[in-house]
Amino acid sequence: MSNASALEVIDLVVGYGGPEIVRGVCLDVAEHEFIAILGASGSGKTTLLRAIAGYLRPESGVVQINGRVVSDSRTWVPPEKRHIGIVPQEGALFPHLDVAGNIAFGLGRDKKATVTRVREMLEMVNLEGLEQARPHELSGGQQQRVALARALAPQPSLLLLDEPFSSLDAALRAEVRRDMRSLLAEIGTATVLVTHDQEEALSLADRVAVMSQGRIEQVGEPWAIYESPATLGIARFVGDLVELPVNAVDGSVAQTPVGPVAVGGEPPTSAGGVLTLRPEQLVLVADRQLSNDVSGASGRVEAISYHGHDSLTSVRLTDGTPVSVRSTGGSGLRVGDDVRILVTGAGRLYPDE
Amino acid sequence: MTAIPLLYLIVRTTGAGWQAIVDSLFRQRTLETTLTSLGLIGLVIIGCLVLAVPSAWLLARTNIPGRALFLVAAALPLAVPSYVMAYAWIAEFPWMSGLLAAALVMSLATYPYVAIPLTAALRSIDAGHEEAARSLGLGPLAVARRVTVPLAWPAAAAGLLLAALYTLSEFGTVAIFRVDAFTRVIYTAYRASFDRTTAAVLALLLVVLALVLVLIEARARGKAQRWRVGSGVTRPAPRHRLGRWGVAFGLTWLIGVAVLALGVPAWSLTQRLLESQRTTFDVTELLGALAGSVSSSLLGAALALVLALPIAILAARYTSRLVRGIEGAAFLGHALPGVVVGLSLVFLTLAVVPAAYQTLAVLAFAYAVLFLPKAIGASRSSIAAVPPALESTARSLGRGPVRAWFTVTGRLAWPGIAAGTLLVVLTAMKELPATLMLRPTGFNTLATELWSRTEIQAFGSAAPYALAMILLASVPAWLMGRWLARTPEDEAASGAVDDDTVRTDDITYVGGIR
Repeated sequence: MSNASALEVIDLVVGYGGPEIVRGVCLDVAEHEFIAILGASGSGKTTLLRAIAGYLRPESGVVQINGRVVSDSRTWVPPEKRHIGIVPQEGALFPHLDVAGNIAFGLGRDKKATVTRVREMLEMVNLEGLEQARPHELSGGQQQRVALARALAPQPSLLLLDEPFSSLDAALRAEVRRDMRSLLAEIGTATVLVTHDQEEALSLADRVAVMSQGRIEQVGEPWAIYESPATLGIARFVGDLVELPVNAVDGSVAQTPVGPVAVGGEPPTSAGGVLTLRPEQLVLVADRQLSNDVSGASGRVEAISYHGHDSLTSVRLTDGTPVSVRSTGGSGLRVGDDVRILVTGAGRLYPDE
Repeated sequence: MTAIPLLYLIVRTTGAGWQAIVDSLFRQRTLETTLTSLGLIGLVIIGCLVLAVPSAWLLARTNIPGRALFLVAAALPLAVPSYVMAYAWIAEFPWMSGLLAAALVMSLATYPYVAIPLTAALRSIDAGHEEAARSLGLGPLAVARRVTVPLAWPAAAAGLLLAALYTLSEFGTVAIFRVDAFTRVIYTAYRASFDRTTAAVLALLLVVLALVLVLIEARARGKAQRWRVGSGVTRPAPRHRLGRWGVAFGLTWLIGVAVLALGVPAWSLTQRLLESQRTTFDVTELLGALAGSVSSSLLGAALALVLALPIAILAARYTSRLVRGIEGAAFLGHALPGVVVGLSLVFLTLAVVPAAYQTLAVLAFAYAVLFLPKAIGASRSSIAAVPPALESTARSLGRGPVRAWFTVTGRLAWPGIAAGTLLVVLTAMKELPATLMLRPTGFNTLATELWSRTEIQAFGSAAPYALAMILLASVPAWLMGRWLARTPEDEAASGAVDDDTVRTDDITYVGGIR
């Protein structure tokens, strides 16, 4: 690595004096990179964030920010000296200060510079003219944007986002998320987002780190996490999944209830296990259109959930295996229709648990 | 710190030998005293709830006219020493005596401890909680029972605990109404019969009772989550619009309570004051006593604040057993009657630092020990009301731990902390037995002058001191009422938005008197 990383975490172990919550985490965030730490609640992701911020003292391990050691067995830099910006859950705006006061909180004593900077920040988050507003007068999305402006005002070298969108409603969430993403891409501050929302992590981050039981299980670009999950657990966590029992493996082709499917990644070593596909890899064809073509497994449509841009169709194969299929737009099928299922692309094979 | 008087008690008691302890513990008299004190506490708790709950609801949740005024009226009884109140009542109604009379006067004197924090708590409960409950199909009464009461309960419980402990250690009122509660029996044993073993044993029993009260309060408070979950900033509940009859009933109630708690003592005092015109009256004596009251109570309050803040900060953020223990021990100071703290400090100073005997420093220390719980209670709950995320965010924005605390948590909690310190000043001004024992020779406070005149039945010449004391103590009570009266919507209505003087959100944290 040519440049110093914005953040480097080496073998970090954190506990609250009791059992370890974070157990040996390594993480590397490059300059200008946006990384998401994705994990279910209780996976230790927030604890990891708090340790990076300096709110918690780790049991062991190293934290480096911009090449500077802020935490190891001998060094301990308190949070106020780490130059980290944090957007906490719910924003946590100071209720006794107005918007300008909140944004100026981390700035120096130079009044003129502060006023200018506050105006710049408000412009940046599209809240011009709201200097005098009180936090309780703002909507949830505005509060989050002020919290972001407050965190970015002192020009931190690293930004930490602690589930900043979880308190917003869906429409607003998408909007605030998009704004924040383009804003961060523009100013290029290295960012760590902690979230339990896989869609959020996959759509925002340059790289995603999946965390479970205090460990990071896989780090990679969003498509890699989605298409080549390292474990069945990750595969299940990062999106809808079709799981098919495998009877036999022939070279790199697995025999499944929907027929032979190519196995991606490393050549399979086991002769059985679970083959996983994403629902959009399956194609449904109504039986009546197929006439004499025998390819594809037959099944019957059990339920359809229609989302507008796509729909998810639950099909039960003749041997009883449930399969869900994602189609763009509507599938043109009805519950009870007999269908054939065709597979595109390769699946992943995991050994039986 | 608080343990010092307690340790002396234990040393003193065990020194007398087990036989003597067992003898004094299992006398008929001991049981009677215990039952009397418990009965008095029970009656005072009922009295406080009856007086405080409707008043707090009216002031916090309705548009009843004159709220600011009635809030001041609700705080004012704190400025009237309960024994002055007792004396005023008995001077008007000489037939009053016994348990019920004492309970009435104690309730009137202590209900502000419940009414004021409860008003603040009702004001600061987020409207969203109650609205959510309504949407879940609960009627107004069910909302009150299942949402409002549980949320406001910690404030009321802490207030009731204070009232109960106050009652347990009150000496003047029970003496005036000739109720043989612990303090009177102990005092009599100390002073009259020189039977100090019995007194010490009873005092220890008193401490045990107080410990039970503290434990009950701790359990009532439970592991309630003390900071709000939910987005954004608290929005106060809208005020209930009263109809014509509602206003009439409400005003009748509030005026009625004010008449009982303030009107009767004021009337009686005025009568005595008119009598005192006929006696000679020395202004310099009064001024000297005034200076004594102010200096000693301010010193005591400052010391109490210094001792209380670290405990309050720990207790608000961590609920470990150790912190609970420290907090509980500090609360015990409140249950040690002034008599016991006074005498044990006399003993201690004579034994350890004779030079400090009867100095202002020891008197201030006694006040700090006695009133530490007040300072802790107020500071703790107002600190707990500030979400910890605010302070950690301030840290990440470059403020060191101390600055972050002062600019965020301390800044938001200060109304509660200040209110707690004011309570200490008020109560220290009213303190009597410990002041009598520990004051430097020739050092007089309003309380001691008032007492020495009351003791010789010179009610007329005592009246100016009582009045001066009430006036002096009214100032902080008035300020406290003003804080509470100031709510966001009132500010918006008056259009006064000035960053330095108006603090929109402070009201949320005044909840803090708990």
